Amino acid sequence: MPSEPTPHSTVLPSQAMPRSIAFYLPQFHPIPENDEWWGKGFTEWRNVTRAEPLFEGHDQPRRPADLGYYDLRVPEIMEQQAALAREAGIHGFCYYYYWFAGRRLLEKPLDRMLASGTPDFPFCLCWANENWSRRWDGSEQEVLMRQEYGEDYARRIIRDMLPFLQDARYIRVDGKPLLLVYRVDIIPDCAAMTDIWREEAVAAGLPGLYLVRVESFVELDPQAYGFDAATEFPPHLLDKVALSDPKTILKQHPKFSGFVFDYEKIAQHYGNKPAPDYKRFKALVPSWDNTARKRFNPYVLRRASPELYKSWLNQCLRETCRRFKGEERLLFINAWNEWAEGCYLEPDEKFGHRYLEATREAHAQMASELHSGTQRSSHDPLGFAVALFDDGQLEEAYSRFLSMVEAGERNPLVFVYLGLIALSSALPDDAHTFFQHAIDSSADRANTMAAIAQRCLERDQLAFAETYFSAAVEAQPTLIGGFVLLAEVWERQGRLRDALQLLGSFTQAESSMRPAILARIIKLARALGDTSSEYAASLLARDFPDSHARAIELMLSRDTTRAADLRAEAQRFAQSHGNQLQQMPAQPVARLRVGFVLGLPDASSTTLRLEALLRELDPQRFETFVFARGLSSSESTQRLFLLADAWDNLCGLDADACDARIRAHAINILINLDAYASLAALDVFSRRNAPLQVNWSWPPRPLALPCIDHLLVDALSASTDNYAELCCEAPAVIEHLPAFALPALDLPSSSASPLRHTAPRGLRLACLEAAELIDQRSWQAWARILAALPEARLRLNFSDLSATAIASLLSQLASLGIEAARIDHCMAMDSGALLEAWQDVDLGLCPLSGDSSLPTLLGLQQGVGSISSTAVTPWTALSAGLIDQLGGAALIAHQADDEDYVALAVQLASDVTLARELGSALRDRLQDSALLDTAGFAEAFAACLHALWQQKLEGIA
Amino acid sequence: MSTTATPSWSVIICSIDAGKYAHIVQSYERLLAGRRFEIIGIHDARSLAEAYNRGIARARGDSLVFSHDDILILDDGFAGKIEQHLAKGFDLIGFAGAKAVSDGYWWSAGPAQQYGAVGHAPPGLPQLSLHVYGIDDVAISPAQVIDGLCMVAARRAVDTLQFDAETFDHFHLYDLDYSFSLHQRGLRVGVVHDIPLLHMSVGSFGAHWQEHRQRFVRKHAAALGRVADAPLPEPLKLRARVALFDDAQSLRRFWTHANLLRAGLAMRRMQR
Repeated sequence: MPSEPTPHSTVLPSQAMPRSIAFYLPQFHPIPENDEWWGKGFTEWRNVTRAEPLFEGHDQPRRPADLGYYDLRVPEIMEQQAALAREAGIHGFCYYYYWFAGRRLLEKPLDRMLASGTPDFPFCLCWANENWSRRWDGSEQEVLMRQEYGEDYARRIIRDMLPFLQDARYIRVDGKPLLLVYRVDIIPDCAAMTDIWREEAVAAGLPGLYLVRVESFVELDPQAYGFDAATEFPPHLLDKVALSDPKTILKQHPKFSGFVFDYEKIAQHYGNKPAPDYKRFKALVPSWDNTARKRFNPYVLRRASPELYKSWLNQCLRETCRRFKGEERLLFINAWNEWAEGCYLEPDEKFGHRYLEATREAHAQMASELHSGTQRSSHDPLGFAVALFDDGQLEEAYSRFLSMVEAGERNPLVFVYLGLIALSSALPDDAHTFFQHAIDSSADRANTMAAIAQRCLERDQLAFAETYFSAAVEAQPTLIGGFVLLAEVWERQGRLRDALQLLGSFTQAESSMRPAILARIIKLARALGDTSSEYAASLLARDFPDSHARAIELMLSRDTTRAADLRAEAQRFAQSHGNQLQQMPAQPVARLRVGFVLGLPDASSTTLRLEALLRELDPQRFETFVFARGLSSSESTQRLFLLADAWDNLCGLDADACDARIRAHAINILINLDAYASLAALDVFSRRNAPLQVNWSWPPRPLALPCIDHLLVDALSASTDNYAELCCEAPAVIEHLPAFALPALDLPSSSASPLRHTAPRGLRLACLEAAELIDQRSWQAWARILAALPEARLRLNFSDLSATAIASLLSQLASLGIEAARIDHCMAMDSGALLEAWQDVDLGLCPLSGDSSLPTLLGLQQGVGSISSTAVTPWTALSAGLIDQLGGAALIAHQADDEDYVALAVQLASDVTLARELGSALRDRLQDSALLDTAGFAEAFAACLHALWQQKLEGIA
Repeated sequence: MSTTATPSWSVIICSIDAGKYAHIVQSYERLLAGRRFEIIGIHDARSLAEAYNRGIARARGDSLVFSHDDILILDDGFAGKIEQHLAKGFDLIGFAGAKAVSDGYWWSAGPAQQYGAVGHAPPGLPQLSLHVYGIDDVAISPAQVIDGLCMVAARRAVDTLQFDAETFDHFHLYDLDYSFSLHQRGLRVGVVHDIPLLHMSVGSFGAHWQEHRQRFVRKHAAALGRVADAPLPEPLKLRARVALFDDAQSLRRFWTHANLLRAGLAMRRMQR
């Protein structure tokens, strides 16, 4: 029996020394569940070793050094890990705790650690309450182990954890065990859970709990969830668009479609992050590269190094000391051993112990600074000068900063502080000059401007703050935080209406700041007495109890006709408030009223899918409505119009008018089909016109759809690699390939043929996507194909181009080497005409950008296969996906460069017989394929809608 | 044109426009190619009922088509399909009609009772309009009354009854009366949905029509359940689901049973 361990929480070397806690993954040993899902003997090492470099300089695979490819069933390993961590100054480990409605996974290392008392090293737990999915991302897709909560889960899990929490090694804050939860945003009624937890902890003789939520997916005041504090969790919550820099990636693998960030830039990003109004601990990441799990779609932090990590850690330690006192001086390192995410401190072959040494040095430095009673270290002149500034010793600080500049220091922070000192000395011109130097010497101008602005705001220098926030958001319009702070400046200047208007533009923002934005809008709107804005924002923010209650209140005062919504709202409110309101029964409906929101209802793969649904969805179970955001008199529109139970044009209507139109139809499920899920489409969805709102556009931009309850995806899209990357939430999958309502082939030829000009018969290639949508890259590829095939002609679709536009296009083509004599054309605007235009074509060419699946499909129906490419964009992959479904792999180019595509086209066009045979085979397979099984598709779609609706009812009930 | 052997089909067309007549004759020649048929043109009629009765007197076919001269049947399978429907026991077949009637127009009993789909090419409009009145999940729906733009009668129908040229001595209501009278005598009237057809005009509802509507109501007062001299309500507007197509090809592409069925259902739901 091991001796009773010493309580670590009482033996801290210094009460004030920040405690660094490293997240710890207790994987790396086989368990029966992983054997079943991934194969016998699976451990995370299998992923780690299979990773391959995807671009020049890509550091993969990662290879462990001292500890080797260890197995956590071996007790010595955890002891060695603890020894290494202790040596590096790490205070303890935060073990992930996997608990699925009573069933624990990966529990053996923890249980043994608890029972044996070794390693004698502080620890705490983090409930990793995510689904286990085949994608390793906690998504709702391909779930291996679902995170379910079940009845009385809160009591059950805390009782399970109590033996750990009571262990003497357990990390505490002022006596309370420190307990983390990975995703509180997905826990139903989280605040009630924390009440139960605390109650159980007290009953077990503990003084309570210190609960920390991990900011993995959303930034929000932890108190709203009953938590004491939050912790950052880099590299989560990155603004991918703003920070990634794919152009600098050289020699990529053709399938590479991940995001690459610069480590230093990310460190700066986190360093510049304004401190929130609530307690949030600093956290950092030594490096990050999840290629081992995500294969071709990883997130990679490039140019990570022990030195940069140490600098970030230094900053985190200081910030922690600045913001927290006593036992709340915590910071988190992500992670100790996340090898498959390229995120570990353990020794590896490349850096050896250097990350551990960097950790040790940073902690030693901090300890030294604290020990001497000051953080002013001559080894850190910047920190020293900053400390002087913070102490108000401006003159001394000024001379320190100035001497650093004279010594060649170009750190933008130095100039920022010089500017702030000038500002404090009422020298505004000098301040601007220093700030400009700071901006000029920064790699990230916009963030530096925002940082300057924020410091000015903290000092109540509102005019300066306004100037630099405005400049920051102008330089980087995606810097939503900048807009929010600019609004705060205006608010403090008394310009409430301006602030409200500014924030109003970001209610749909793809940002983790959205909740904060909505909260501020609500506050401003209340101050202004603007109930309309307050109501709209409250509805959008109704996941938060206060806003939720207010939304109901406002709904009552605004509109008494919305009984159904009111009931649903009341139910949600009741659910999140311990059923304080009387339960109202959910009302199943006999026929679901489904509204489809379309952009321009012209011929496209979307309208052909919709047509199939409108015709085939069982009318006994569904009523269908189409809301068109664009006007069209095309044949496609007419067909949809005839088949839908009702049709409404939303063209040119504002959100209020759309709201009225859609509500008049009492839609149960509103489905967005608008391509790309554009923000404009959100006018239709923003007012929550239907109880259930779903997005079914491809490619999805779910982040643009905050008013969407579910993402819907068909089996074809779900099967492509790109979907997962484009999609932030797990979609509901229609278990069927999309089926299209294609026009019949057996009609007699029309006298009004769409063909206007037909060249003499020779080898004929065609691309019948509208010519104005073809990109330069495709034209160049086709020029090379035509050059290699002197007898070939290319048929293009000039659709509704004017004569002037056609002349201009032909002239452009001539400049690329495609002479007009090589072109014949049709002017096909709809599926029937397109079908006819494919009639005498030998081989089709899909363009290298855009979704050309409609003409491709019609070509296949006419027995003409098209060369396509998977490697360019998700859009082009759609056409390739269709062809692939029919076994047309021979028509698909996979290499990212266009040579593969050109070579394939030339090769097939050179053997017309083979090309035609291939086309005929594809046509035959198409006729028997699920792609034309509209009834089966509609049935699968219906099942999916019913499941979502049922889920909705259960949510209300 | 007509064959010397006894024809199986007689097409009776009343027309005073030589151009239209030539066009419609050409159309029927194509539709009935391969069958024994005769085309009987009546160019001096006092009324449609009188013209059709004259046609019946001359007709030798087993199937008699009573056709306006401003229609175009868009289906080369016309004859075969009609023969199948007649073989199922229908005696009079039209393209639009209703399974009940309450006034002197075929859509009088309301949208739930009406059947058929007709394409229109109204003068002055560049597009074709498809009107879906209502469709059953069968190729032919039993009806009580049909519209006269094109009617096909089995020989036993005309042997049973001729048009009432005395009461309906103009160009209105002869069709409603003939179909309703046959229905009352126990013969089977039906509306087909499986043959696309274009009508080049729209009806007129002037004083003559009102007069003949009154005659119809009086003649069938017992069946319609109304007192003969009670004031007539304003005719209800004909309800249909309408879409515009650029050409006949587009219209034909839509014209499948599944599409029409769903559009017909949508039309009925639209009326609620």
